[in-house]
Amino acid sequence: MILIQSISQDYSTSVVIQWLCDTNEDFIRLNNKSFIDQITFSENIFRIKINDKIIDLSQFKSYWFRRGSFDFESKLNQNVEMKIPIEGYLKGENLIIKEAIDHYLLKNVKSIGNYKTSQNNKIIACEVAKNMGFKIPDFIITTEKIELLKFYKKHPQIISKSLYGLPGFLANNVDYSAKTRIIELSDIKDCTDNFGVSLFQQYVEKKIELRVFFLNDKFYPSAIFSQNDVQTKIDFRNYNKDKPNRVVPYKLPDDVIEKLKKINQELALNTGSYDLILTPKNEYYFLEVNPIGQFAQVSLPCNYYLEKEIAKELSNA
Amino acid sequence: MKTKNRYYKLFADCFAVKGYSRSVICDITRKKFDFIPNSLYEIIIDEVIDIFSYHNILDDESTEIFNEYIDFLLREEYIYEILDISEKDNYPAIDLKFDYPAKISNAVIDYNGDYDLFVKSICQLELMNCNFLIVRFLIPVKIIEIENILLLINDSIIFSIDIIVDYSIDYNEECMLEMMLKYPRINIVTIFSSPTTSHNKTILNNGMGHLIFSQKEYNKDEILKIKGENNFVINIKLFTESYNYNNFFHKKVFISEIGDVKNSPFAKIIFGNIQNNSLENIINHTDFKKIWYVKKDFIEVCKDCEFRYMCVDNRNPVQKKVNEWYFEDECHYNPYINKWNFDEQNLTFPAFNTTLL
Repeated sequence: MILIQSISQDYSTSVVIQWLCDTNEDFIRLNNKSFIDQITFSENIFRIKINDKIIDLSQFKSYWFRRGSFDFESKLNQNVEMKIPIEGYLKGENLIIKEAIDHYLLKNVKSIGNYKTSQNNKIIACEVAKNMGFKIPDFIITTEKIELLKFYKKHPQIISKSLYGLPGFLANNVDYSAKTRIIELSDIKDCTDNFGVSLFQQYVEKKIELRVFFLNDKFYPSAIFSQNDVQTKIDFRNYNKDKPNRVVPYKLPDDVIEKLKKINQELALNTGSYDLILTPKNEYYFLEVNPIGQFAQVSLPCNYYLEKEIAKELSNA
Repeated sequence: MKTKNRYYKLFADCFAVKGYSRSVICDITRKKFDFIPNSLYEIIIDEVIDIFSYHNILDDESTEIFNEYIDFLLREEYIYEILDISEKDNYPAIDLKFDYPAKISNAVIDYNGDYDLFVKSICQLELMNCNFLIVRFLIPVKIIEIENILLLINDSIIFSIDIIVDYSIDYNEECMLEMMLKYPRINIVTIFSSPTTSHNKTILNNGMGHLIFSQKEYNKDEILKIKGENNFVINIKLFTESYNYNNFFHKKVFISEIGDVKNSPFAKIIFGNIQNNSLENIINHTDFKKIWYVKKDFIEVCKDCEFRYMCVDNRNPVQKKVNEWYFEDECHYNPYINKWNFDEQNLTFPAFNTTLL
C-alpha cells in the first residue's frame, strides 16, 4: 500500500496515480479535505480509519508527501457556540498528530518529500546555497524607505518579490498578484517612510532560467528562454500564451550538481524544484528551492516522464 | 575586417522533419509549423550551425540565400546563438520516447441498447486503465439513456467521453448543455441529422464540453481522411507517439454493439468477443498489437511525407514485407508534388475531429 498526501486539484498527483494504476499498485490518496474518521496511536499501535478503510500505518510500503495536509478537526468541531473559541486549540492538536504521523512514516517507510520540510524559507535556503558555493542575488528585507534607497543606489537594478509563495488576490476590483517586478526610483519616491516587511533583491541579468526538478539526487533540468520577450523577461510566470517561452532539456555541469546535492542534504530534501539563473557570463545563481513546486512544466516539454519516475520510486519500496 | 564566427543551434523543441520534396520545422511549444526547403533541412540538423564553414564553401549568391535562411530562422526563434562551440552539449535533444500509463488508452464503443453489454465493456476498459472513450449510439436514444451511460463513467478511470448520436426531437441546446454541465467528463457531443448546424461550449473551463449539432448524416463506416493542414495536431505526445508507433492504432480498441473486439471501427479482423473472453486476453493476441508498431516511417508515401508526425490517419495499412506497408486508398495529400487533390477552401472541418473519428 502506498500513501499519497496531496490536494484535490493537483494534476501531477493524478498522473502519478495513473502510472500506479497501470502497474496495479494499491494506494490511498489523502487530499487537503480528506477527513480521517478514527485514529489510534500508541507506542505499538498506529491505526487510522479513512473512507471506511482501517489502515495500520505499518502496512504502507511508501509515502509521498506531495502537498496539503489532512484534517482531523473539522468534523469534531460541529458545535456552533464552541466553533470559534475552540478552533485554535483544535488546530494545535491537529498539528501535533500530523507531525507525529509524518515523523512515523518518515522513519519507517520509504518517503518522497515530507510535511516537515515542505515549508520553504527562501532566506534560509539562500544562505545554505551561498555556503555551498553558489552565487545568490544581494538582498534586503526592510520596512524602511531609507534602507531601500541605500539598497537601490548599490545596484544598477533591483526587484521586489514575495517572501512566501505567490500571492494573488482581488480586492476592490484590483488584482494584487505579486509577481517579481523591477523597482524604479519613482516607486521608491511613492513609498511612505515605513511600509510592510518587504524583500528586495539585486536584479541579476539572465541568459536563461533553469527549473530543475530532483528526485533522490537525480536531477532533471529544464532551460527556459525567457529573455527574448519583454513580457517574460523579469518573471516568466507572466506567460505569453500566443508565443510561449521555449522550454528545453538542459545539462547542468557536474560541480553545480554536486552543490545542489549538498543543499539537498543540508535541507533534508529528497524531492523538489530548484530555480537557478544562468547569467550572460555563464555564472549560476541560486534563487530558491521549492520542495512542493509544480513540475509538469518541466516534465512535459522535456519529455522526462517525471510522474512515471515518482510512481516507480513509490512502487519499488 | 574579419568578422567573428557565429554558431547557432536549432531549439530542441523544434523538430525538422524531411519530406520527399520539402521539409517542415515542427514547433512543439508554439504548436505550429513552417515549410523549409530540403537544402535548409540539411543545414539545421547539424549539431551546431557553423556560419563560417558555410560561408567558406558557398559562392556570393548562395551566401546571400544562406544568410536569408539564417535571418528567417532567427526571426521565428527556431535557432539561437551559442557563444562557444562547447556550449552545445549543455542543450541535449529531447528524448523521443513515448509511454502511456494504460494497456488501452482510447476506446470506441458502439451501443445499440444492450446496457448489460455496455456495463461489461466499461468494466473491461477500466481494467485496462482506459482514459478516453467515444460512444456511438446506433439507435435513437432519449437523454435519460445517455445519462445512464454517463453515470457509469462518472466515477471511473475514463476521464473524457465523446458522444455521437442521431438527432431526436427532444434534443435542444439547453437540455444538452445542462446534461454536459452535470457530467463534466463529456468532451464532445455530436448530434447528426439535426435540423440546424451549430457549435456551442459549456462554461467549463477545461477545454472540454463541446456541443455540435450537424445537419450531416453520420456514416459509421466512412473513413474520414485528412482534408487539410488544419487537421494536423502539433504536440509532444502526438509527435513522440507517431515517431514510435502508429498513432491511430496504438493502445486503441473498438468494441462493437455485440461485443466484437477490433483495432478500429473500420478494421476487418475480429480478435474476440468480450461476452466470452476478457479484453486483456483478446488484446494480448500478438496480431492485435502488430498494427500498433506500423508507424508512418514503415508506410509507403507516408514515409516520404513531411507531415508524418502530426497526422492522425485512420486508414487500414496493408502489409507488403517486414516493415513495409501501404494504403490501398490514396491520401488527399501528395507529398511528391506537395499538393492536395481538392481545393482546401471548400472545406470547413473542425480541427478536433482528427481524434479517433
